[in-house]
Amino acid sequence: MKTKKQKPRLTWTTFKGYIPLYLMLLPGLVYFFINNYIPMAGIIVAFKKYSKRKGIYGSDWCGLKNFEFLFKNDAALIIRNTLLYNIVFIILGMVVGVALAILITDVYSKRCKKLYQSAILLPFLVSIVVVSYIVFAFLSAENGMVNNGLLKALGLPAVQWYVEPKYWPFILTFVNLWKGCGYGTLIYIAGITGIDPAFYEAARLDGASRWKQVTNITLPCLVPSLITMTMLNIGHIFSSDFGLFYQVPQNSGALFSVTQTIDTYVYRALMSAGGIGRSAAAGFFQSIVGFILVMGANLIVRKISRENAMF
Amino acid sequence: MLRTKSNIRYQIIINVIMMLVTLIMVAPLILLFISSVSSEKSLLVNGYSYIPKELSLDAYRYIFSNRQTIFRAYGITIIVTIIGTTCNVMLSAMMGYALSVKKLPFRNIINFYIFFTMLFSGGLVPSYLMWANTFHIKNTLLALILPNFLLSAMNVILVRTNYTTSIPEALYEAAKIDGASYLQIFTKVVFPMGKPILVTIGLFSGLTYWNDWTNGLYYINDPKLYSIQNLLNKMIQDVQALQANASAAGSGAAMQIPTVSVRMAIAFVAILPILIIYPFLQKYFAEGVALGAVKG
Amino acid sequence: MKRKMKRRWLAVVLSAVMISGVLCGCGTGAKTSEIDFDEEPYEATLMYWVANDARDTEAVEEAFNKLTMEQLNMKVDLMPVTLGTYGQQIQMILSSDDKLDIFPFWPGSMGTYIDADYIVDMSEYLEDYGPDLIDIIGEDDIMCCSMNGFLGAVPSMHERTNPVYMVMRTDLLEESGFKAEDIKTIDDMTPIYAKLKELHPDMVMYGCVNSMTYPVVVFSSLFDPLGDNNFGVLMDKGQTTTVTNWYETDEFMNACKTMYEWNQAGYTSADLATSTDGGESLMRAGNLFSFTTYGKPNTKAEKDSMTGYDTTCVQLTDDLCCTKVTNSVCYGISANSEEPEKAMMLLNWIYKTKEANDLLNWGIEGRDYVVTEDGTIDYPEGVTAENVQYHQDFGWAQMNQYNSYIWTGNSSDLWDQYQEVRDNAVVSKAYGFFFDPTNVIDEIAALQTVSDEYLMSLAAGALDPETTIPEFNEKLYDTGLQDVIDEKQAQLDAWLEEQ
Repeated sequence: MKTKKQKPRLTWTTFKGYIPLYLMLLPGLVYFFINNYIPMAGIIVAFKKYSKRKGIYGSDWCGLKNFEFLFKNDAALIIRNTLLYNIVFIILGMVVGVALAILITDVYSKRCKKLYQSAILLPFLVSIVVVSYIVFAFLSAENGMVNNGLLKALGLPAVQWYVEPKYWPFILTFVNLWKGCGYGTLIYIAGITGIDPAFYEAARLDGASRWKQVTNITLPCLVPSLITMTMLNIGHIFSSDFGLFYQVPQNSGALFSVTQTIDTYVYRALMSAGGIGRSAAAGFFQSIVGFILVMGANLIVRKISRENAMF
Repeated sequence: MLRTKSNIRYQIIINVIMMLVTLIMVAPLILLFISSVSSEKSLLVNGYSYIPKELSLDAYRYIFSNRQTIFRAYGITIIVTIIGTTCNVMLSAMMGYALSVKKLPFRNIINFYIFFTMLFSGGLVPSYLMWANTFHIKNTLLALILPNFLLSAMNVILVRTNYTTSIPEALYEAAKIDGASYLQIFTKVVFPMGKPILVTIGLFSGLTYWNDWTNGLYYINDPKLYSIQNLLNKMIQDVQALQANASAAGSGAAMQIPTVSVRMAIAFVAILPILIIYPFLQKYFAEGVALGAVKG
Repeated sequence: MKRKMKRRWLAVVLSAVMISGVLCGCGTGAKTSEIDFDEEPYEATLMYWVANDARDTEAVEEAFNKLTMEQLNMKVDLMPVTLGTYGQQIQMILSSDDKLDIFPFWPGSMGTYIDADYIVDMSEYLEDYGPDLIDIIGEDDIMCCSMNGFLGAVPSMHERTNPVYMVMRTDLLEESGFKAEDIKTIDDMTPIYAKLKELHPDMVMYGCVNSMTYPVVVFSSLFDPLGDNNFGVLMDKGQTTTVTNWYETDEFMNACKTMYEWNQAGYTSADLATSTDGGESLMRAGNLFSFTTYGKPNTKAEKDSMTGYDTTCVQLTDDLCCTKVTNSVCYGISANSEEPEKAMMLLNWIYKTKEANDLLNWGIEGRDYVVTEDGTIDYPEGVTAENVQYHQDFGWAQMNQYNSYIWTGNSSDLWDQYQEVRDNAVVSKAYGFFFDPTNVIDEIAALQTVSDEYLMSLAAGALDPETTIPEFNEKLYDTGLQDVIDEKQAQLDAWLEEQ
């Protein structure tokens, strides 16, 4: 049966009743307008030769000159780094997160369970600046734990960590995993606890091994969470944690080839004399590609499972 | 679960693995603490170590003797965190509530308006120029509070979803019949009932403010307004940022700065409050994380 | 064309003003004295470099304002910044509308600042509002801040040569059995390090902030870089006029080799390539024997006080006068200045007013310093480095240290010694030529990225120069080094012709 829902006509009297609600919305809407929407208009600075006297809107247009510089010199490297790191982070984050989640939910002792849960989320709470201090304590070539405590004891030569690019993909991945995996793990734990225990009961009666239970019950049930997480992450695949790539490597020039990402580039360009145009161009590029990626990712999710789509 | 032999063995194995993971998670923080109480000499000669040759509280003594700088930064961080978090929670609650009223005209447009901010951003340069040139917030406390963190679309959506799902429609109707206005429903019913979600988003907002160093990096150049994270950030380049007149010290008798351990000590002091409150609020943190994965 | 005209015109005006100054027998020009005390006082913001964040700047500001209100009818907002803060903030400040009248900068940025309208062309105001500047700084030296006729700043009164000095702890040098006289070049340090390392295996022999290592600082005495960057230089202390690539020279290779040798032998801190701690603070911490620095007549007094040790300072390279050293610290007028002529008056006033320089550098007389019998100054009774309210000792980075007190421990004829060094220095053939990078600005930015990647590590001896320097050079040429060299050569030839 089809009944057309009649939308009530909006009259002044009904509208008036909603005014308090609009007033409650107002401060937030204004904030979004200022903090998010006005700068969106400002991205045109990427196409301008910035002159302070003339301001963002009054500066002369310079076409794609800012982008030309970006693409001629740095784009390939920063895009490669940003994408590769993110892909590795997403995959490892998922694998480690799910593995830890399964292990923790299997732990019998309630107290231990709580301890483990607390411990894995702990690094997530520490600011990246402090993390960079800690990493330095391990990797300082002169005083670091690794060189002085570990390599020396093993009779290996000391490594000058902050000038050797080849180690940094691993170091950054490890740091990211250390800091971030607790977050994913807790999400998957929530997913696993939501699974109907009857499934496991039935499987156990059938004599299925623990591994079988994982592959046949736990993982399939986690798929929705996994998809959501992955899509959220893919949406951010074109941005990077500025602190991780800027602070943790101590802004070391020798490491740029493996630590320069779009976000560090935007900042470094802004910090260098006359780099404001290049910085804005990189930022613009990041926003556009990021937007396309989010929309694309969402489109795919909608195809696969509608209810997991973000919108 | 049955206490069979294989089950016990399995428990032992997973507990050992998780113990190791826990160790990996906590060990770096322990190194941070131990370095901060190691003597400067043992750090310089033997390097950072879990078993320092010599313990010393010099770093903390030094911090205390320069308490002017450090306590000030600490105070700034506390003020900013409190104001920022309160605003964030209040704004999110109000918006979330208004948008949870299904009959609100233009609701979808407003929802999209909020949601779109998650999809697209103007980037650092335009937003910096706007805050600095139009609103003149540089070198004010507002600079640490306003840009980026005061309100996030995610929080609004979380609150809205929570209110729509956890507060039954019937409750609104009942209140309506009693003649309560929307505002009264909010203050008397929805706000008290929906507190847990607000605590959760408040925690995350607080954490963001406490750990933020970027706003200070962009908008603050007056050392009097440094937050604790900015002070730490500055000390990476220049440990003397700490001591007012280090370079001008007059004679050999001048005080030696335990540079290495002091850095570690301040870093430790910066995370201390989090370490202290975390055990008590762990439940909310975990809930917040789980919520983050729920679609808006 | 137009710019060139302007430049000649400026030179004419400059000399005219100087003559008129001599004729009326007074330093002040005509217009500066015409200050209208009835109008609303102008509010100026003065950014200047300091060594530390002082405990109390308010009192200094108050005293400073008392002077400016009386003599200039201006209110001045003092904005002292340390170099660390400056580096992180200046680009953001300049791109915004923050109130700013006078600020210091590195001349390497001048081209881009002109391009982005960040600074004001001071040649328009100099003769009317800054006549004393011409007297005090001297026309030749002022021209070092003039790029293609655009006078972007005026140099501060810091030393005019930057030879490399090795600063060593005297007690350890004596212990090693070597004498200061044994040290002539950087390589003479190697045997001393070898000896001392044996005696003190835990000590670091050589360390400093990564931008002060020998191969980096040696530029200022070996060649004229013709502007800010070292991409294309005049070797032979600027006695040639052919622009060449410094990074291909034997001198660079040898300097890096020495550092590599030290690194391999463990004489340097393994963290040198990323070190952000200055040699002074490292020595102060007690674990460092020596570091390199830019030298001047009072290096020893300065380093003794900064390190807390008795130091021996040895000059390793010659004195060379080139544009880059003269303009290495300069003060310009921001485009944000509401009335640039007022800013110019203020700058002019600071250079000629002793009290102003004393306030900015030494704080308040009686509270932060007292004058001693020989005319130098010292802390008052009971005041020490730890509790002084305001004390910078940062004259080289401020405006006119020649016109201010000398700290105790330095000889009272210090400024004469400065002048003497300058008079005896080799002067580059390109002195006064300041390369305008506008045409190759993208290339230079790209070259800078390459240089960031290699230079510090090479100069710290962290990489093997034999293999890395060729790789470095190849990358530089791939990034357009030749274009920059050609552009420099062309501009230099044009400039030489004009002289």
